[in-house]
Amino acid sequence: MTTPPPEPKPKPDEGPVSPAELAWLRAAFAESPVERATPVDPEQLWAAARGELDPDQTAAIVDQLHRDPALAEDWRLAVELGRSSAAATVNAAPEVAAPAANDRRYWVAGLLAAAAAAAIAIWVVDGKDPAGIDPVDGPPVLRANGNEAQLTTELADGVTLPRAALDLRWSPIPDAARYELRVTTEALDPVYQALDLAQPELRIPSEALATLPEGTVLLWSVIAVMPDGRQHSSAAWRIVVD
Amino acid sequence: MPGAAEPEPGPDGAPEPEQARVLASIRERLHAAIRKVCPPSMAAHTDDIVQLALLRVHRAMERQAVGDQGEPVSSAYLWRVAYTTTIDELRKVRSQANTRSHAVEATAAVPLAEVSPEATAVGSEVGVAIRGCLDALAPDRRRAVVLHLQGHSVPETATMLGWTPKRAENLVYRGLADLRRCLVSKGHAP
Repeated sequence: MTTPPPEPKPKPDEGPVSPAELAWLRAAFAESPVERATPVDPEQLWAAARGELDPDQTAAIVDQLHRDPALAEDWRLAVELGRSSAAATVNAAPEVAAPAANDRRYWVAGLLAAAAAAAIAIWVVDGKDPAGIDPVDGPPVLRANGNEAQLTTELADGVTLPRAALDLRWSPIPDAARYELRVTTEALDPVYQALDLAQPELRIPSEALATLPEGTVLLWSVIAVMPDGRQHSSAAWRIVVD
Repeated sequence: MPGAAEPEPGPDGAPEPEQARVLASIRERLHAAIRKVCPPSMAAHTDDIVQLALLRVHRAMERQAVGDQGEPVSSAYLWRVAYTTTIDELRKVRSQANTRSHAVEATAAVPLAEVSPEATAVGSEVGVAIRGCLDALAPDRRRAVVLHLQGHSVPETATMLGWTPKRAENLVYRGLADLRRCLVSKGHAP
């Protein structure tokens, strides 16, 4: 009996970039050498990093990032603070809360995640509320036209959770037969799913998170399935793995 | 930094509870963001930078309270003030560090390495290779990859640069593949 030839080893430059490779690239990118450039106005940096600047102006700044690690660091600080401010705004009292520009990006990410999770009904919003986006005092959700129940969560958008005890909870839907939970990366790669949950909560098994680098952003969404087959879909929410 | 202190209370005494809550939230998150993003060499300056940012934010709140003309004080505005103040102060610290390292090198018998954050960065071979490989990418692929390396998601990149999500996805993943291929050809790999 002949032994089959060994599988050829994949060449190092083939296939998608793994999370570990991406983490290595990010660390090395942060240490790339300095080439002094004209400082960018912090106001412009803040707007660009939050997606509030004209795309051409944003591109001009982005073109400098790989040549100026200090500028890249300033950019990352804007991203980090922007996400922190969005999370703080969700929990803030209405009189000091303000719409965070990146709420719309999370809404877009939520749409993509919902579509990629397969067999999720995205309700069409009627003409009276064309945006279909919740006002500022909560994470953006898609509103349905009618009396359908709404899935929400008390977890702040973008909250960091411990990977050893990553507990997800959502509002119960009366008479729901079961819940389906799906968790993906921001690139919509599946991380974990549970499709027959009786309770509106679940701790994600730590082994499902083992290969994710610290700080990985995950999208999670829920479907409540009723006894007659009707489904209520949540938006996609963000969490960060510690 | 001598003299840095808590923001002064308003005319009636302690800051209003809501203002105090906002200031505390900004303080906590600004501290965390600087610790997460900036190199360890910045640790000694974080408290002073945060205090200065909070002072600026508190002044913005007070201007609104006394009816000053200007931008309404929204939460978004306060966070922007905190960020821009932080960047101004970080740049001063970096500039001072550069001045000190140049002065030390000028007087030392042997040039000293590792006296400033930039000295560490200069020594990174992989960083040099990454920059060279990024320079070789087509502009849109480079922008997509740079934003991805900065921690942005594909949808965020699409929004920021005015692309469709599909175009952004293609540029990011093809750009990363190009970058990796280039680095491997230069002898670098994770």
